[in-house]
Amino acid sequence: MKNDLRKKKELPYILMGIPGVSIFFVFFIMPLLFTVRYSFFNWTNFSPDISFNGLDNYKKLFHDSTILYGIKNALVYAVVTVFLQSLIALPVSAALNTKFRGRNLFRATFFCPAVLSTLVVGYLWKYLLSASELGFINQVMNRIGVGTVNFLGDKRYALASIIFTQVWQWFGWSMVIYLGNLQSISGDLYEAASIDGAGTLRKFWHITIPGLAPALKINLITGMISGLKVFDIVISMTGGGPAHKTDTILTLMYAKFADGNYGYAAAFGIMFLLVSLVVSRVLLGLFGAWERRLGQ
Amino acid sequence: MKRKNHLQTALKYIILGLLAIIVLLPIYYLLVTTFKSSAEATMAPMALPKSFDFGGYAYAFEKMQYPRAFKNTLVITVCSVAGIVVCASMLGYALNRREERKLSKFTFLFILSGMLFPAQMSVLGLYKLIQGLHMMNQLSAVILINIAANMAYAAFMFKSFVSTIPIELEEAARIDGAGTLRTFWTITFPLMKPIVATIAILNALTLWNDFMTPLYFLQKRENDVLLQEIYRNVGQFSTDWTSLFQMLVLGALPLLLFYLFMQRFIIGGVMSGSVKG
Amino acid sequence: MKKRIISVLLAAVTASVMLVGCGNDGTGKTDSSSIGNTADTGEAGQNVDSADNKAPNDHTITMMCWYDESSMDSVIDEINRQLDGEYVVEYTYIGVSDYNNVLSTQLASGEGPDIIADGANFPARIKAGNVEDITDTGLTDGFSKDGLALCSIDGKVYGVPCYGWFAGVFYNTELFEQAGITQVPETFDEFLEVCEKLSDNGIAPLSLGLADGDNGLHAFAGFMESNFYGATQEGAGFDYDFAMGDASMDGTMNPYMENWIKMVENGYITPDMVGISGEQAKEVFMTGKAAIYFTGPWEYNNFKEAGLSFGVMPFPGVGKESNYLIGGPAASWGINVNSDQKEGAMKVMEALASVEVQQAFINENAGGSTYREGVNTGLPEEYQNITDAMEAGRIACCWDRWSVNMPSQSLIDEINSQVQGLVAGDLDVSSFLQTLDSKADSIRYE
Repeated sequence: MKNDLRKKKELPYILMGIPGVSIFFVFFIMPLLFTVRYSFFNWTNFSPDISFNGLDNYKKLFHDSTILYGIKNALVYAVVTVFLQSLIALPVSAALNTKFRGRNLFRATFFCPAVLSTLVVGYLWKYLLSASELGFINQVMNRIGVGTVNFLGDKRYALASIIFTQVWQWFGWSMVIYLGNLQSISGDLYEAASIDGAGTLRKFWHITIPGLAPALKINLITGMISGLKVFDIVISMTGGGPAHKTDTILTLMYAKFADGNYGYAAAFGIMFLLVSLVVSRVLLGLFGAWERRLGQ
Repeated sequence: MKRKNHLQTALKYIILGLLAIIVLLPIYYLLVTTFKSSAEATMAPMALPKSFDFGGYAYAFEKMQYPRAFKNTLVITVCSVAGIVVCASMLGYALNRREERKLSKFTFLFILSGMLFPAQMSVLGLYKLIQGLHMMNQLSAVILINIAANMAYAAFMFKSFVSTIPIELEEAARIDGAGTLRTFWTITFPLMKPIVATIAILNALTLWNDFMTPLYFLQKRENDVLLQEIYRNVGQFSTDWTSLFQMLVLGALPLLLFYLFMQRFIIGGVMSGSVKG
Repeated sequence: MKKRIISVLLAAVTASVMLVGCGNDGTGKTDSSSIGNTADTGEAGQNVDSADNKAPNDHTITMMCWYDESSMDSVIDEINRQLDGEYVVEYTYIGVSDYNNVLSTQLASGEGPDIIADGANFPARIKAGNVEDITDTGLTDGFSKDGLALCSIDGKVYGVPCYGWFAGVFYNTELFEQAGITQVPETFDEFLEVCEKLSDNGIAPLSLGLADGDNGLHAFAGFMESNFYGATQEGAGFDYDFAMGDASMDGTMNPYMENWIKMVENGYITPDMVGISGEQAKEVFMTGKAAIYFTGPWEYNNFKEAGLSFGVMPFPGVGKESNYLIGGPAASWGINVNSDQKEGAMKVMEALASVEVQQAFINENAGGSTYREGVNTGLPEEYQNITDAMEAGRIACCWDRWSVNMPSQSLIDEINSQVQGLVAGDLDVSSFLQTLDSKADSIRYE
């Protein structure tokens, strides 16, 4: 009797959880399991039968030279983009955290590119950076006598150009996250430090940076993970060229998919999962260590 | 001392001003170029256009089948966001208020796994699933995928927010005879406005600008979104780029306008959404 | 403040729920199409019936191809004229570098246009079960066997070709004269001399856009056809063995590629070209800023309209008698098995196979050859240097030969992309060929 009553009390909560959990299960967990399964199958668009082929897709993966580029590019892209974004966003947010005229205008301006879609940003910069006479940046560089730089066609600059545009687009986002965190650091700490005679830089290093641990964590971890997922910007700016030098894990996966090599593409997906798990584990470990040190 | 402060302030303005120019220049260039001919754009790239001719926009508008693509993008974004808010708020609430139950603990861990795996990796399995469900090329497929992919983070945020709402308020309603669901919608949910706004804004920004999911799952032109229209039309404008720029502007305009009017809320949403997470 | 945000959100939700409401009416007709192409998995696709939801544009038959709209206008007009209002054709253009991706993903999802067009990958589409068998319809009666090469497998026919494309070396006659070049080069060595003369006179010899499109492919395949495939014993049978996986490019083609790379070493093909799109490179040639461009008859009308005086020659190899153009059947057209407009699609196919439409294709692609009886082709005067090669049937291309055992388009894309690396100096000849071998290894059917 009592048990029944308890069940009745629990029921509404279970009902409330059901829509979310079931959508999550059907459209997130199941596809994940499907993908794992298909990565062991010979599933292509060109053959009517789909058959188990064990580790063949994975063996192929290790002989595919493009995948190394893909992983390397995604990692380089993620690390450098995240680093540069924070490098710009940190001092800017510190500057914007003081009261002065035009502060909100600056804040709104810096954040603005983040609301543009990455695809649009990619196409815009593709034309700005074009090596042909239409490219605006090269027009300027020619006029000041530097000469034409083949930003997107030269492997030395292609990835760097992509990274530049993404720093341009997203540093404002990081800045806002730092700003939110800065506002929660108590002013007393700074006052106390001033009384002890600490200068601006010392205060930044000893109060601001440790105080920013939560925002740093968010920016670095989400930045790294979304960096590994980079897709739109590569598709729009270089299409993976020159000669696969800017291909990333997801653009390669899309190419295998378009080739009709579904099983192989699934193996790429699993590969991607492993890489991102390793990266987030390492990052979380590092932050854990840092936070413990701060806590001491 | 005062002098040094003046100098510092001036320096701050100069550096921030330069940065602002770097940020705005490409956008300015994009906007003014849309009113120029190719020749004019090459001759005087930074000048204001000689005349404001909207003919190019009309052409791009038609070429992109703008109203239809806009409608699809809006429907996907709004329904996904609404779905995320409704499902995740109830789930987060239930998980918080029944935190000590085994089922809750298990469900919470299960949901958290969603924050670990990027949704993009399982696109192949998703493809197979959507095919099997006969949902290919339907907006609802993309909406459900979006809800699932963003459920984990949102539920997590709601769960932590609910712990800041005192349970006494709900108990008062209970005494008046309201059931759990009713209490949630009439008492608790209205108190969750800040977090609802945050979740809604964060998701609206990412989902409106999402290209990959529609690219895989909406293959019929009638059902495609603004970004796909741009992608589809880009090829033929690789030289006639002044026409392409109009499409880029039309693609970016809705969110830019939204940003212009809601700027403080958007920035506020990003601010609070991230640090707590 | 928060209140305002909530009310805006609420309004948006309401608005879009209403939109979904009408959206369903509008999309009802489109949801109906089958989720086909599941034959590969054994989960049979079902046609969801949509008869109760007939929309006004039910008479629209969709077509999609990589020919730009201006060069398809008269073809589409002619088809629509023949359909006489019973059906209307709607044509979509997709740029050549995205075409394979776009069509593949559409077909894989059980969608795609009613009429499927494809080139080297048409056999792959047949293998994938995307195209209707039209063997017994008599549609292909007027066509020669060569023309149907890409649309038939195992004695069954699945499509009709539109015209015979070729690509050759287009050159600006005025610039040639300026550089004192009176004779078109016949061997590869002579070709290099011509390039040298041009650059000595301050004229850029070649315009290539390697960032996208097929310029890189044509540069590679054209020279291979004239120097290796068509000119040597070894080359003649190579592609069949290669397609079957019994021969590799690395170890075979190296000496010929060492020759090819001279165009890079001598600075005629430059790393800058890797950052330039095919369209931009065409613009450079069309405005007289470079003397040579590799392309085909689809640009003929564009060049004419630009007032260019030009000529065409085959790709230079070992000598006049063995110089080739690359080419073969251009796009072939077939009915999408998942089309819910089979009847109308069949009508469009009849139109496509008709003499009038085939003639329209030829008119838009001056100098293209026809596979259809009763269509007049005339070679414009610009083409006098290639008549020998055409009459002797020296038009071929490697990827059509590969298509017996692989979706060639994937290897084509890989060539375009690896030529970038070769030109940029990241790859030597041997590693260039190795990457192509390993790509081929990963896509063979068997």
